[in-house]
Amino acid sequence: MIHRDLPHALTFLHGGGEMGERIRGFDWSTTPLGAPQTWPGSLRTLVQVLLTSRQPMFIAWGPARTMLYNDGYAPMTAHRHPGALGRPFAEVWADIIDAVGPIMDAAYAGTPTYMDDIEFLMERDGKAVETHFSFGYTPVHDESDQVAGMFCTALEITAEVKEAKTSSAELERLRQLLEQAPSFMAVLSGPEHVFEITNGAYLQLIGHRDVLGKPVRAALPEVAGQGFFELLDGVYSSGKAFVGRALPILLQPEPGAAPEKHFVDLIYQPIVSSEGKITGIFAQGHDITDQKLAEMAAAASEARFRNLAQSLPNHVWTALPDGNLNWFNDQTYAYSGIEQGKLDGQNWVDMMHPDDFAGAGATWATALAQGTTYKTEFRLRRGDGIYRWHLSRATPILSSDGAIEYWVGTNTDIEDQKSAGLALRESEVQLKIALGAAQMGVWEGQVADGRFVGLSGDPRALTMLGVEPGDPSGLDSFAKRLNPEDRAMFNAAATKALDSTGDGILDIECRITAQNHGAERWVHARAQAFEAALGKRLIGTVRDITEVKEAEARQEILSAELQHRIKNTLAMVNAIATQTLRGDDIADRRALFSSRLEALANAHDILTAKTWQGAPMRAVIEGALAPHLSGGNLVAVEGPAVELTPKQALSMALAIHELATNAVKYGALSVPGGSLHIDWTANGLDDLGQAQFRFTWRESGGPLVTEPTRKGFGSRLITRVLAGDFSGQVSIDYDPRGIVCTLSSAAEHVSLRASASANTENALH
Amino acid sequence: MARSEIVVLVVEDEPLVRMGIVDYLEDQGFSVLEAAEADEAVEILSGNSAVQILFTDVDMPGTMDGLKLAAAVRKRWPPVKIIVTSGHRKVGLLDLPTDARFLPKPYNPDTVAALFRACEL
Repeated sequence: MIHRDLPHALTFLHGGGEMGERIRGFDWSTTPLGAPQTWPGSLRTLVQVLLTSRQPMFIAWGPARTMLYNDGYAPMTAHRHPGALGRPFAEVWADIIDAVGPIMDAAYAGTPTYMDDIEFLMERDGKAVETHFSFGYTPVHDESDQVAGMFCTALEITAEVKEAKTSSAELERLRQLLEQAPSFMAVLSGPEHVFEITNGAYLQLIGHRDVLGKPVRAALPEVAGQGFFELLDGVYSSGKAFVGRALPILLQPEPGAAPEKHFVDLIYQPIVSSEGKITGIFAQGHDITDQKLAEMAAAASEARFRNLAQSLPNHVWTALPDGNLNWFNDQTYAYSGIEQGKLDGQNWVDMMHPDDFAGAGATWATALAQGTTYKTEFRLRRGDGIYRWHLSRATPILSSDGAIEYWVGTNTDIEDQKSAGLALRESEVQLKIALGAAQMGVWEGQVADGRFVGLSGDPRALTMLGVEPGDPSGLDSFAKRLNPEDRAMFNAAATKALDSTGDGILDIECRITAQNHGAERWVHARAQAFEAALGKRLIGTVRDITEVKEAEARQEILSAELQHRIKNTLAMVNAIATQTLRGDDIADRRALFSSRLEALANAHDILTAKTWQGAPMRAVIEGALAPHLSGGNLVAVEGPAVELTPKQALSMALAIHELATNAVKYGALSVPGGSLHIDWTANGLDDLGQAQFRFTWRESGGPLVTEPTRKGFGSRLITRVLAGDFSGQVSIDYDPRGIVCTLSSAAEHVSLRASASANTENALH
Repeated sequence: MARSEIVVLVVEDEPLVRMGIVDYLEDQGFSVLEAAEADEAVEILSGNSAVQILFTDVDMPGTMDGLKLAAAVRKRWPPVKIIVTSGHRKVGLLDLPTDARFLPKPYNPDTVAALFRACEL
């Protein structure tokens, strides 16, 4: 077929449906590939293949990796179609270039890649459907053997994937159905009869051994020589089902134990695949040991019956038609610890748990009256006084005229099943609730050759350990999120736990970056190591202790801070003592020392009430003044609300104390009618126009003031310490009318409280 | 005074504590210079080569704490004897420059004076 519109030289562009049209209609001279007439032979061949194939394909060609694709591939490009044609691969797939770029790079480096089962959402019949494809990326070499481009073919495998999914879901459904079935069932696969499914009843029959994944000959070695394996081989090779009734089989109740005799009805049904091939065997049946025993008792002589009864693992007994038990096998005596022959009558009744007696008695009476099968559960006392649950069954043996000749009964110990079931259910629920309440997760680490090979756990544990969903081993994301500083400690702890000479306990606290929001959390993991089938395992719990750690850190800061304050205060007391206790008149000085400490303590009280964040200036001043006021003087304190730093508060309190002491002794507070005015402002301006804080102590109405000849501790404290803590200047003016003390500093050194109360005059007296 | 006074630089940000020890040392016949923080101390040292002993607190505001100051002084003025004091933390020997001494806070002023005299014997 020759296309009408094309010159003969471009026959390789023929066909190809919609994409054929688009490729032919495309102005290739605008791309690095140039006009189709100039394309090399290898590209021409590929384009021809592309356009004539219905399989999805694309080509990326040249250094720019320019894209060409066919109708089959167009839906895979989704909204990128048809714009993807003639565009560089990296531009078209920019949004997923991290994923597909390396594969493309590999192809250009000469390495083909095959990818199995890539999932796409594709629109089909107007609906978005899940599809699956496998991809092959093949490098294409030019005449000089360099990679000139690459060629990708896709193969849709949606149907196959769906089928595989369905069959595994089917298998799971089957497993669940079978689990609850009263008859025993097992699915064996392949010529070796490997256990694929077993249900509860089957596991009971074989003593709860772990047989899954094992060939039947390895799983149940004691069955060798009893003909069953040969039957399975026959069914597998012939495809013919086998039905057997009342087959005797010796089975171990647990590995290494003596085999016990059972009678089973069973069917081996071949499993045939859709291609007609035999893939396995479905085994199903009933343990009919009890019925078989009754039948044999009826058929056989008493001697033969008793012989058989003694070979069974259960307690076997017989009873007279009136219900009195008259014979027990050796197993019953061994269990009860009672002397041979002494169980008949009352002793047997005494074996039964008193609480179960009434129920069992009624059931037994009904069975006796109606001649029907007896079946009940009760607890029987073992020789050591322990009661164990038993399942008791009995069948009447009829004489030839139809009358009940005697009863044959069995008691089967079901304590383990019963308590295991109950205990498991109860302990699981308890454990779950307890772990939830403790906010603990359970995790398990798998170790092989001394190295961690896997990390798994419940969702809570995985979240805490930073394991990302989709991390197959769990280890990579854990290792990534474990704080690097804790790695060495973790490794050391793990090595110690895995050392078989130690106690096997892993106990660590480490930091893990949380999954969602990069915040780091502290976790405490504790686990026990033990030997497992392959290597070792560590099983334990993990708990988030971030809050505990934060509280510890806060506590540490607090006690360091407290330590600092105490030492600081002691240093101040020390300084006051050094200053005050100079000279000889020690009695006077002791009183002075005490009053200075009192002023300091007072300021401490105010600071402590505000948790040492600061102190209101007014409260500090009033607190320091109070001990010196005796009435008869006018004292005013006014100023805006100012918050002092702890240091400022302490020095202000000490300064006020010194000023007040002086005022009471020599100044305005030493006579009635003297007055004291304290005020401060924070909004004045200094000579340079900067905002200024200004504090003034002004005495008036007292005795005439003269400047002292010697500067004492008080004035030095005021001029040096107060000035230092406010980063300002202090002046004391010995005005004859009254002392004026002024503190001024840049306003930035005091913090005005955002308080509405612009304090007005506040007369204390 | 018969023998020349020992020149001491006291660096302490707590004015009351600084005043206490400065006054005491002056009474004891030392020549005392004082600074409230490390930068001020460096300024004093740069302009006064007579300083023989640096007595500094550790926890101070400013660009350097007392330990950094001690290290800087050891480097720039090697002959200056250094005594570091702190109540806030345990200062380890490794934190101090060579030959520096440590005195925990609060200290007995007599001990301080005695230590200074021992330094300059």
